[in-house]
Amino acid sequence: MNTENTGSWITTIKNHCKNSLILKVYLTTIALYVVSCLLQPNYLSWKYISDTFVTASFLGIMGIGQTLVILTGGIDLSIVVTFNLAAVITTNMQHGNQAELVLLLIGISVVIGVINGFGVVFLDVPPIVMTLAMQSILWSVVYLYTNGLASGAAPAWVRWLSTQSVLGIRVILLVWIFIAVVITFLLTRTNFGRRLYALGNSHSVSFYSGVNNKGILICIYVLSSVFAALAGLLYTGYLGYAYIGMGSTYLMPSIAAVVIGGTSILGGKGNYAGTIAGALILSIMNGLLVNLNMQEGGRNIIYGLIILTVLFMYGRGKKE
Amino acid sequence: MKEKLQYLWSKNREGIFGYAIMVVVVYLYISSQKNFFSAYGIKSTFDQFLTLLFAALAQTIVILTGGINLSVGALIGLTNTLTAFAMVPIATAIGNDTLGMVVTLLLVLLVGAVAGWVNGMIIVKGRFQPIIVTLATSFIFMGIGMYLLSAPGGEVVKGFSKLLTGTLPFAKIPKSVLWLLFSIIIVWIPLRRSRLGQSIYAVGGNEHAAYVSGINVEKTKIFTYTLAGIFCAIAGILLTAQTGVGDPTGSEGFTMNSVAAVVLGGTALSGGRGSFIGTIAGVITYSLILGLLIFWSVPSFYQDMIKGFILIAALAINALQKIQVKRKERTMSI
Repeated sequence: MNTENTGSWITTIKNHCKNSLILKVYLTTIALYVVSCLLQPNYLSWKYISDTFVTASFLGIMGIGQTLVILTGGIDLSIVVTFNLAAVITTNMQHGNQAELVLLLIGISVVIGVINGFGVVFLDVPPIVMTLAMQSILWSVVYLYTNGLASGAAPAWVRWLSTQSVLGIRVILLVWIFIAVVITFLLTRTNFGRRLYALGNSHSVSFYSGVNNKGILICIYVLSSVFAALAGLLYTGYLGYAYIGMGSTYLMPSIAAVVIGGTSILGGKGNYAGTIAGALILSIMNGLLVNLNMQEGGRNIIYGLIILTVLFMYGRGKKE
Repeated sequence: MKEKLQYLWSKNREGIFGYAIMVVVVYLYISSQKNFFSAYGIKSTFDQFLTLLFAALAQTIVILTGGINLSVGALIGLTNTLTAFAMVPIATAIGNDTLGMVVTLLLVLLVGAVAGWVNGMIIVKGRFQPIIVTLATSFIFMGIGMYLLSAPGGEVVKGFSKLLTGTLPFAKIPKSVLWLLFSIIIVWIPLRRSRLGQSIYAVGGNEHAAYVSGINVEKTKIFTYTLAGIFCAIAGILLTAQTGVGDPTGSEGFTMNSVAAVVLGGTALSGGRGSFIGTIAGVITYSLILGLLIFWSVPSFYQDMIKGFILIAALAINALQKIQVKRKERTMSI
């Protein structure tokens, strides 16, 4: 009787594991960490773990918007420039009124998001092209705003956010954890989240079920650029300064992190917890390859191979 | 006659806006440049869009199947690097510049084809989304390029640049015009009319219907990506001829620019509709904007913004037309 019970209990867990993508993603992350510890023994420290999380946090926060947009079946290429724009505005207003700075950042990112959403919803422009056009326009805005050269440094409070610790934990990690909890709650426990998944699975079905597709899509694009701006602000604090082209290396990784995290590029499937693991995997990988003195070319190759490996693990389409 | 015009209009509605913009841009370009019709003016103008032309050709056929190729830029970078890296050593090893050049170019084309074939195989056999596979392979291609040359460099044999670019010795026709004609007459039209071309459109229009009608969907897709790889290699070779050096990371911009040019030319991202003929308009428009701004002494900061606005405008107008068509259909059905 007893053994039977444990037996069924184990099979339940086994079945659960088989179906749980998120578990696979986190197991991959842990395996990667173990491997890197074997290669570099000094990785086995609290400091290294904390540093890895911090470098992953910028990608992770930017990945929020990308996750949400990809869940609706779209893609957002404009976030990197929103990121950069937020960064140059932050340093430029170093000595200005900081409340004004925050309002300005929120205002600008909301406007960018609304325009993206408007183009996708009302002009029927495919998301990839709409956000590509937006990216193009925003690069000009960045150049015009800075006149070609970013000035100033990060304000003290932004530096505090990104570099200081409270109770032994970096403030930026606390920020990230808080946002991650809110987003996960939003996606799994609210009507908004359910509608978002419905929309991602099928636009027409969710429309005929009475979901306000247009409203949700616009909301998603606004959230996407707001979080991109937040990531830009935090990264500026981390570096201490801003430069033009700052976020551009984050574009492809932000998509990669989402996909590695198990979110389907077709929309409707996935969650933010996966993206967090995706960001961590990329961050561990990057740190490890740099420490192993791998050339940049080699790093790129391994980066690509990892995405492909992950796809082979759980990104395959259905057989027809 | 009227029916024929109507037929043409309905077939090319999306592309016509691209051509309208192109005509405006070209007109402004010619009128603001006094010596446009001198040989140098035409030559420099055509040279600007040569690389983008073949990048966009590669992107067009992939988008026609309903996919997207984000590895275009990286593959151009790789083939560009390989050409500059391998040409002189191969020529020295053979001991003959011309023969060495030919061997190198064949090698580069082969590498492009293999790279494209790998893309296609992974997408088809793995049943993955093209966008994410080509994103992954773009990292790999760029990485290989970086192993060949860690910084921009390399060299080409004497006469290579002159052979592929510049003007014909007689009549002062820029060779880039020949490349344009080559891409249309030798590549696009036969491809469009071939069995493969028809299959590409069919697969992009409705994959399931194509499969049911007996088209080998997998083979079509693999062929398409392989061809796209070859076109990227041609773009890489032409880029090397223009610049004389290899740069593994410098070509990244071609990916998004090629997508924009294709979309501007009226090809639908959902696949099955559009043509390379429309893409040419997109390529020319995109390439001339920078020159136009320089002539008007507008700060180049505005360049990206104008590109973005043109892209949105082109697509928005297409969307409005679609709404009109829908309305017409609705009233007709009533």
